Parts: sequence; structure tokens; C-alpha cells
Amino acid sequence: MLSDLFQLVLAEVGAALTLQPHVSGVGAGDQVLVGAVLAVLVAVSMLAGESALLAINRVRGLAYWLTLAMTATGVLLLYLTQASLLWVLGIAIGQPTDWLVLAYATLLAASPKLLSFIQIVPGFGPFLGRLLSAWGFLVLWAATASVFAVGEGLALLVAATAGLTGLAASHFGGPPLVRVRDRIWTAITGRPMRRSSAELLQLPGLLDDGVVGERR
Amino acid sequence: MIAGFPLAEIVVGAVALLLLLLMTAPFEALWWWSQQEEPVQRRAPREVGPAPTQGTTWIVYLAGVGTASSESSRPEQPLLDRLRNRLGDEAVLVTGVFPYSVLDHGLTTDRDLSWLWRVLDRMQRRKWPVLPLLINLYNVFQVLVSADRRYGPFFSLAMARTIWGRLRAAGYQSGSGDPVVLLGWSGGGQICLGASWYLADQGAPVYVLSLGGVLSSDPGLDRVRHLWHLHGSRDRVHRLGALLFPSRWPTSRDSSWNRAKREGRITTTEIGPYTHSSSPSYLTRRPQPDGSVPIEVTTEALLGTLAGAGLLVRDRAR
Repeated sequence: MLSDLFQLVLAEVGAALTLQPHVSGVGAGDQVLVGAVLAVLVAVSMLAGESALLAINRVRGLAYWLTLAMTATGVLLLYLTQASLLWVLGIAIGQPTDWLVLAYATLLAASPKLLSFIQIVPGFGPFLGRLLSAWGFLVLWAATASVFAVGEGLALLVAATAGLTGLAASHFGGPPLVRVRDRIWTAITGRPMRRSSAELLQLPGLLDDGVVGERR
Repeated sequence: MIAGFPLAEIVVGAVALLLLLLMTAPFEALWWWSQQEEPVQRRAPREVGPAPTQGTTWIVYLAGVGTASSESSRPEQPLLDRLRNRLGDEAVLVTGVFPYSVLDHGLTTDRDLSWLWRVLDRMQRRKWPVLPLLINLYNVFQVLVSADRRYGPFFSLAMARTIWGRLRAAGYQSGSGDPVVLLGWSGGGQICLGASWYLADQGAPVYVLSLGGVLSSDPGLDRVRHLWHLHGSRDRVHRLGALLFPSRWPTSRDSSWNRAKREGRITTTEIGPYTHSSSPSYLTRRPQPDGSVPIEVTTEALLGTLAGAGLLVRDRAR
């Protein structure tokens, strides 16, 4: 039942947000479902938080759904990469663990990102986004301690290594993926994707008669 | 604490309402952009100077965050009257822009909740406490929208279009090269900075005169010929800009603000012992113990700044 699934997602997210993630209390099948639902919800929330970017690119209708799919895939890729890093680190510290459990733990660490819509707030939005990332790291730390059954100090070291490596991976691996995304966007819409609304500032003559006008 | 008084619920409700208002603050600007056609880039570079100069300075006034509409009576009206009288035909003073709406709609007209804003506006004029501050709050949030790198470019484009339209309607000739001075009080100062970018693109030399303005390091500063920031020594509100916007901190060396400062394009002047809005403020008409009248001091400071920069006709003629 759909309502049962959402109740399960709510319970799991609630536990994660209070830094008590249930990393091993859910069956494998449910873990996959909860993880997938979480990734989609996080993507929806992230897109709401990035309304300015959606607006500047006039993302609506089919383009919105495509962007949503790409964002959810990106979220899954990022957190599953982090899970793989944790899996390797687990072997390194002598605590080999099932990859699926780690994947579920890292996806639970994305729970605070469900509040990403709050980044729409003018002025402080990006700062609030950073707070959510910090909160996510705390969840990852708690989940790491629980999954590997290690002390908080070692769990912090492992989570920080996974988190920083994930950051580095998205920093260096992000641009090629963004280029692919932009190419897909241009192929579909026929116009280049703007990275930020600051690109408007580079367009000369926006106050000239008829350059920007209301749509009929 | 009064027994049974739901203080916690009220605080939570107020915070939730505040958050909701903040989250919906950019909606108008986003909706405005969604209604615009995709801009077509200008093909040839703009030529400056095809129209003859009119030998006049054009001053556009943008009101502070306490204003509910461009038509409602404003506390700064006496200041504007004094400026208009003193300027005579040396400069054109353009008023009537509502700086906190990309649609140039005051809060009291053409909105679903206009009736509420009208009630609050009346309460404000009768000096009721607390509730009328919702007007200030709404406008402050629009100042945040203007200062936000994500929404600012839309918001400022819309404001620049409104200002440009008013200037043209008042007789400003595009390409004349006549100086445009954007005069903003309080939050209006930030809106001035944002609009400067696009106005300068029209070939107009743009200057900004901020009266107790709460200013961010807006990219518009890169195109402002000079920013004069006048403030009172007891005005704590104008300091919020330097505090809240990290790009104004000395650590952001390459920000528009710090660059303009290094280039000597920002002048900050303290004009007296005035607060932002409570008496004695920039607009107080009652004489002070030392015999000075704040509103007269403010008028003199504004005119003196313009004259000192050679922006008044008689100064240019000398």
C-alpha cells in the first residue's frame, strides 16, 4: 500500500533527522523502496529551492519532469558513490558490511535535504542550504557509527573521509556531468542552459524598446 | 507568564508565518519573469550621444520600506517638497515609483490582499503600534530579493524598466548622456543599486545617493559612477547592510562593493545625530536643542552632495 510506504518513509526520515537512523531495522526490499522515494522527494525539494534557476531557464511542463528525473538520478548517484566509499572504508577498518545497508544509510543521510525547498528564502537561502548539508553530515556520522558498530571517533573519521571524498568527486566529476546535462537540455529545448540568473546581467540592451516584453 | 496563555504556540506560529512570508517573497519577481518573452540581444553596440543633451540632472526618488504605495501619503513628502523647491529648474525630480514590487503595484492596489494593506496603511498613518510593521516586513523581504544574487537580476531588471519608463515619460532623452541620480531612502537605496546596472546600459551616467540605505554589494555598483551614502550617527539600521551581506565584509576583497571602495567611487558621510526612523530622524521637522532642523540638514546634505559633484546646472555652468 502506498500509504504504508509513505508512513515507513516518514518514520525512517524522522529517526534520521533526530540522528537515530534505523539502518538495519528495515527489510532489503523496503530499503530499496524507501531509498528511491527519498531520492525523488529530495529532488523535488531541491528543485523548489532552486526556483530561480528553473525560472531563468523557463523550466516547466515536460522540461520540469526531465529536470526532476535528472536531479533524482544525480542525488542517487552522489549518495550511492558515497556508499561505495564507505564500503571500501569498512573493509579498511576491518568491518566489511553489506553494500545495500551502506547505500540505505547514506540515502538516509540525505533526509535533511528534504527541507531543501527552504533555500528559496531570499538572502539567507544558500546559508540555510549549508546548514542542511551539515545536518546531513551529522546523520551520516550517526549512521556510520551504527552500521560499523564502532566508536564515535572512528565513525567521525570514516564519515568525514567519505564525505570529503564525495565532495571532491562531485567537484571534479560534476563539470563533465553538467556538460552532458547542458547538451541534453540544448538538444531538447534548442537554447543553451543558463547556469545562474547572473547571466541576465551579461545581456546588453535589456531596456531597449521591445527587447523584453510581456508575452501575448 | 500568564497561566493558560499559549505563548509557545504563538511564537511557533509567528516563526512559521515569517518563514512562509520569506519563502513566498521571490514569487512575484519569478512570476514577472515567467511572463516576459525570452530577451533578444541587441545586435549593434549602443551609441551614446545621438540625442542632444538637455543640460539637466534627473533625480529619481525611491521610497523607504515604510511605504505601502506610491500614492499613499509618505513621511518623506516634506523632504521631497523641499528638494523640488530648492532644485527649481536645475534638475528634474521624478517620484511615484513603488520600489518594492516588480509590477510597480503598490500594496494597496491591484492585489488580492489590497484591503488588508489599506487597513495597515491607515493604521500606520494613525501611528498604531506593531501591526503596521507588516508593511515594513513585506518591503524588507523585497529588499532581500533585490540583494539576492539568484533573484536580483530579475528584480532589478523589472525595477530598471519601471524607472526607465518614468524617466522617459518625464522627458529624459535616451542617448543624451544627461546624468541620472537615483536617490533611495532606507531599503530604496538597495533597489537603486540593483537598477543601476541596466540603466547604465542605456548610456546614462548613473549616480546613487543613499539616505540611510541598507546596501548590499550589488553588481550594479560596477556601473555606478559614484555612490554617496549619507547617514545619521545614531542610525543603526543602515549598518545592517555591512553586517548582513558577507560580500561587503573586508574578506571579500574582489566584491563589487570593495572594488568600488578601492576605486574611490563610494563616499560615506555622517550628516548629524539622527536615527533611522524615530525622532530625531532625517525627516524630523521639529527644531533640535542646538537650533538645527533635521529635515533642513538632510535637504542641505543632499543638495550639497549633488552640487559638490557638479550635478546641478548652475555648478556645471561655472
